Amino acid sequence: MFTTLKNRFEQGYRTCNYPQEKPAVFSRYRGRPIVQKDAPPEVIQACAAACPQEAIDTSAKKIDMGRCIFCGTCEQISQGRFVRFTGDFEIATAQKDHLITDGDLPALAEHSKQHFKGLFGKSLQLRQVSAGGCNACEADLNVLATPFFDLARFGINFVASPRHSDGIVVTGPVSRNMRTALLKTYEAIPEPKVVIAVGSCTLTGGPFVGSPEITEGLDTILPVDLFIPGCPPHPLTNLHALLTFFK
Amino acid sequence: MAFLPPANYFGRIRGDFLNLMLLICGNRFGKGLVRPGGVRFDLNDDVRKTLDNRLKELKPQVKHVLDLLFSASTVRARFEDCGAVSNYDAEQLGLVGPAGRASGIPYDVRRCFPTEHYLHLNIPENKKTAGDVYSRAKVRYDEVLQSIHIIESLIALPVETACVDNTLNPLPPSSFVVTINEAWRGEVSHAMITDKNGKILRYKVKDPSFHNWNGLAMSLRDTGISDFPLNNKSFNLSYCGFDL
Repeated sequence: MFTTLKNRFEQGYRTCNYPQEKPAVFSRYRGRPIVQKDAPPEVIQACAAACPQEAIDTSAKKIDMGRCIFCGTCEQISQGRFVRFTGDFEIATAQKDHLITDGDLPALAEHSKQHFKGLFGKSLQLRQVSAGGCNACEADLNVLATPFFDLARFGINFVASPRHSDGIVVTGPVSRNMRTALLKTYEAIPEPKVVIAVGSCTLTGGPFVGSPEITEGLDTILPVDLFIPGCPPHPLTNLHALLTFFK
Repeated sequence: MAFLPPANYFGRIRGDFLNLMLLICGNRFGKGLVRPGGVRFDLNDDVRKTLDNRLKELKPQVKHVLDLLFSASTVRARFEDCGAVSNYDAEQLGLVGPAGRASGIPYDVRRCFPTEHYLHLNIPENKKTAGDVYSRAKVRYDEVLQSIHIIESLIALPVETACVDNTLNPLPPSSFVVTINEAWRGEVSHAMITDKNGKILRYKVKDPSFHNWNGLAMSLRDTGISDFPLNNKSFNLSYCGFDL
């Protein structure tokens, strides 16, 4: 009993104050990319050629955050002259085309569905479906339940059945083996329902683009309300997306 | 098991360790750190210092929460003799990682196929004999502390990192390669085949959970349903790494 109490005091209060205060992330974190439009064309070409995700549009000088895995190759190659990744983790969007960006993102709050705020603003129950993910997106959603993020204090919970939920959070490239299970889960949720796509794989197919085993974008089979980019998205990216879109 | 404090404390502490990976390479899961031929981010003195300071802070916390868990008589009573997998069954099923070591299989890729600096680390066998929940938890207990010690010893080495550049060298054509590594759930294996132009023809990753799910099934033979959650967690299996 004494050990239990001693431990409790040592642990203290660990919950972050987000969204009132933004917690600091280490400087090597790669969040919202900013494109320098006046970069030399050969630098832009070199970045596009080296990008493993073909996420760079050389003519529009934009990056597709849906494809991007935030590896930072373009930043290293251009030494920041074309692309620079900032520490800004608030990068989710309500429309897929907003993911294609030069650094300016439309404010998520203005594009969120207002009736959702009324319906789910005080209580949002979500079912997570891992549709062939690598466990990184899943793990960084899972940590939202730990004391540091404490998602439950906002009335948002992950539940164990689609029947108990208001929506699904999908991760992974929706492999052929998981497609039917995912669609059945979606059907099992009572209307009105929310669909949230998390991670590069789910948004576009990620590194698996071109494979017949996967679905290239969850939005090709379900109506997606919220797009959260990253590989995986930082837990704070997920938290920002959920709070801004539904609160 | 109705003893939630350690679960919550470890949940938070685990995040702190993931953040240390982000400190090194900008990604909590180490994505983008390793490329064929080396690493893309250096371990400079600033990073070393932050790592060292954070570890100094976290290590006693880890130790205290471990002690909290293992010194509770109720926990030990629940762990011991629950869901035992015999050494014979574990061998037959090919269990890997901490689950295998709990059932007396000493296989550890770091020890059995040491590459790079692993030769100098003197990693112990860490095997137990009972194969029950207690053994699986105790293997983790030992290895968590060993891992922290290994990281501390590596930070202290004054090695300068030479990063690889971002140009991907062409892969050898018409080749087949298999790699194995000890990940935190056990042996992870990557296999790749290249075509005659050096392009990837087929790439397959095998997760440790691929072996260990059958261990869970075996541990639950002739037990009550109430033993399922405890055994399930003690094997710490990945759904993603198995059948999706």
